[in-house]
Amino acid sequence: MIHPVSINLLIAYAATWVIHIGYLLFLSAKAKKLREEARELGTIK
Amino acid sequence: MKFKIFAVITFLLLSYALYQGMWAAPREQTMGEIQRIFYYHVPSAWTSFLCFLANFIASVVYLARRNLKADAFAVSTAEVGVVFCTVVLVTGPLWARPVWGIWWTWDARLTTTLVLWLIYVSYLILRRYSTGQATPTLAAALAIFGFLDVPIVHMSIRWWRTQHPQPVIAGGQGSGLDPHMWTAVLWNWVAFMAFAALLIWVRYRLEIVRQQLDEAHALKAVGQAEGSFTR
Repeated sequence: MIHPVSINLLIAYAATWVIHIGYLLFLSAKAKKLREEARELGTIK
Repeated sequence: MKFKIFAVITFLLLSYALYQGMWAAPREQTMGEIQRIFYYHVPSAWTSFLCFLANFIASVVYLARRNLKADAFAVSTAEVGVVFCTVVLVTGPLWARPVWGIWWTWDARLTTTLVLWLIYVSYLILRRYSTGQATPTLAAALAIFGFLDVPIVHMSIRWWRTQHPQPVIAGGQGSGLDPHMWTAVLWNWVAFMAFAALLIWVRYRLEIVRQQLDEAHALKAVGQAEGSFTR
């Protein structure tokens, strides 16, 4: 059985990376949206 | 190419920092394994403070020179700072529950950190939803006043008696860390700083593209208006 203290440690490490990866996904979605907008305007090919 | 090299270096640094925090650093005598949260919690806090400092400097530069690159840098550093501050606010209670027996208490350090997070979230909301040319100016003014909370957060455990642990750096007699723990803290800080720089780099480039698109939209609107006048 995993000690509850170790569970909190693992959750903390996992939560840190969920937050960072979540932000990377947000940036990726933002980049995609800006690319589409640029294509519509014809500013970036 | 430079970006890819930097991304690989950052990944290697983060992997080595994980090894340092989880395995190489000695087990703390009183708290045991849960103390290892410290290696993510503290470097994330320091990184967020530096992001907010960069945001403060960029905001001052924007107000002084109306430089759009400074404005792009300001929004990038604020956003990344909020991400790291969120990590601090999530990992702190996960450490506190087994050590203190409670998830949260309204002591000076915790409250001022929450206020700091709220200030920069409001900064980002202002930037996201406010329209008009005055938005960067208003945001820069908010950022300058908002940064005042950073030294208050830093000094809170020195100025007031708090539930939060006392400082390990320059905390007076009886404070300090085992040298092996210091090594783990510093590796994690370097790795998170590199990761923050990488995120700021990406976010800054996106903001520059957004500024160019705003300009293109404005030119198109002017062109259409002129066309309607000449008809």
